[in-house]
Amino acid sequence: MKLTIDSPILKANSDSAIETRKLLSEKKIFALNLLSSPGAGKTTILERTLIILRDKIKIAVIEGDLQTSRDAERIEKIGIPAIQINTDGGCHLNASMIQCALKKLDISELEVLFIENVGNLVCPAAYDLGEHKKVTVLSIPEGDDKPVKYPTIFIRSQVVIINKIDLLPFTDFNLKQVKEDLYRLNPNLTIFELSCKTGEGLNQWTDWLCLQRL
Amino acid sequence: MHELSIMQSIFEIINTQASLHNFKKINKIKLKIGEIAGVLPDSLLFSFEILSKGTITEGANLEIEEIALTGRCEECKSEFRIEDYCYQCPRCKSFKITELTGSELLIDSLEID
Repeated sequence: MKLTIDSPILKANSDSAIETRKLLSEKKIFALNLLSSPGAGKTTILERTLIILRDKIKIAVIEGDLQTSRDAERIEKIGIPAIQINTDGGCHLNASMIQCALKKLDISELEVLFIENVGNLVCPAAYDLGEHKKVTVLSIPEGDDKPVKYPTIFIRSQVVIINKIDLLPFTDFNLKQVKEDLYRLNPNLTIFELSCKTGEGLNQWTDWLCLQRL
Repeated sequence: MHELSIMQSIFEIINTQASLHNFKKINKIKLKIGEIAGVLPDSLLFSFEILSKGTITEGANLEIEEIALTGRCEECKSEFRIEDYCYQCPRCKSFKITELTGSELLIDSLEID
């Protein structure tokens, strides 16, 4: 006998994510899911962003790593509340982890929530965490072939940050080609180019963030 | 991706259905996996072989239908296969494309006794 199920395999995660996004939207908290491979510069971008914005916007951060609380500690040093999730081997955050983390945060006057995902260009793309936008960071030393090699994460993102642009003179990274590749995958992408080292491009990114508040 | 944990999620759904419909034997499980779902059918099959042992799914046939990546052009309304991840209409060259299929990660149906 045939039993029709027609159920998404990740339904449990999707349901939790939808619940979270509804809560965040009701409380006017704009949430971003920050993705990249390990070492692309997510935490450093967050540090620079928070230093610029901390007196203008109420922000909190949820950090995700396999182990350690190093990244949450870096954020807390800047005076921003941060909750660390350790996945103990899990290669991505999921929606129920975010729901647990949110219970540990005072979200009463929060305006922006950053979720820094586990460094991984594959699995996190498939897991809705309840965010409003996915931001994928691609750094110059990683090479200019990552969008075509790992298309899904760039298709699923709304924003790409091309980071470490101060290193362009020292590499063969073809910035024009990368942007063509990205727009081919996702014509509606917003792309920022920045350097946390020199500060170039940071203000365009933080100005955009200010405009995203709900 | 991590097909073992995807298979565990599938088993959770199957166990819920088994409680709801009170069946104890499954002959076939049909999945629909989209081209850009990020899941490898071969790895899923392998995970199934490992995890199904000793469960009501042991011995069942796992059928995986692979769903192609397709889109619809919002300008000329043509529907087409998205080749090489190029989200551009082959007819009118517009970039206003809505993805129709290709991201599915679905349990379609079961065949039970």
